[in-house]
Amino acid sequence: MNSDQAPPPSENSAEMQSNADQENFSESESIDQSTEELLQVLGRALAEPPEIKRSLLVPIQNRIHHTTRGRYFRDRFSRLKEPLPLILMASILVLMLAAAIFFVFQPIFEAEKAVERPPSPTDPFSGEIPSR
Amino acid sequence: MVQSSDSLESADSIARLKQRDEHLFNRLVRMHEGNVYRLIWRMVGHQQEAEDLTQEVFVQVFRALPTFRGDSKLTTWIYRIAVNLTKNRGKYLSRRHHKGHDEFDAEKMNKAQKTAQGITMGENSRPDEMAIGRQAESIVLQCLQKLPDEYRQLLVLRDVEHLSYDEVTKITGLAQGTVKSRLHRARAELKASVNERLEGGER
Repeated sequence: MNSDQAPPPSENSAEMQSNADQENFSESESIDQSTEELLQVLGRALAEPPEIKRSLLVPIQNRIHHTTRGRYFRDRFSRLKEPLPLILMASILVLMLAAAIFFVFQPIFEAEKAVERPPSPTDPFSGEIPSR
Repeated sequence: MVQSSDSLESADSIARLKQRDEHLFNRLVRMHEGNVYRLIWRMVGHQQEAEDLTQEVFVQVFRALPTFRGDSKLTTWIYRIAVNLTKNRGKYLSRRHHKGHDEFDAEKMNKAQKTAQGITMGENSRPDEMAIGRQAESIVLQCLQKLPDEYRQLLVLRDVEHLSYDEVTKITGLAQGTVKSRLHRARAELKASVNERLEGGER
């Protein structure tokens, strides 16, 4: 059902007057003052509907998931409002992984460095005075 | 109403929506759920019913997206689905002689209804004009609910949502002349109903 193919307007009695309506219609666009006031009252009365307590997105996703027999909105990620949090979470995970790797392998790297570069006897920073 | 949602009206977005891109659909829901809910509430007058129908509208939208041809704006198309669903629900409920959901929410209706007598439209010179205004709103809402569905829908679309005639014709699928004449009759009927109610109250 799309608009383009949305359900056709009902064939009730009022609609059957459609052609007659168009032929007989001669209303000008002007509205008298009392009607104008009435419409203003109507507008005010309908201005603020009760607020929706929470977004209808999740129930809508659930309904679609159910009616499509699980084909759509099957996982948590597809239910996210935007893909951005997914990208953000992936980035954070990669960073955490990199940090973990760094901390695990850091002592090994340090040890290797120590083995590779023994203190030179002439090393001014070694703290030892070379004997003559 | 038909607010600008250019980012979703672009050809690229429409193409992705037609392929049922779930993330883009989520955005579509977030952008339009408020407007659709408001429109439906204005027509059915019941919060729970309006929320339920709003959900159903987006399920229908998701289902029908691949067949969207783009003859109208996406927002107009969504509104059309909303109006048709509301109309069908109204018919279903009237067939079942269901009255419970066809009334404006009690808290809205009862604000000042208890003393809603002796009011005339446009009479705002009393010190308690705020209360009188609420009484008038309550009466108008009650009279609106007594109108035939097609009249109520046109009043909401044109006089409350302030849509153009072009948008109203696209949404309702009626010819513009029909929209205008029906709207004229709807306003007249609402006015007569309100006057009758006020005169009844004055007696």
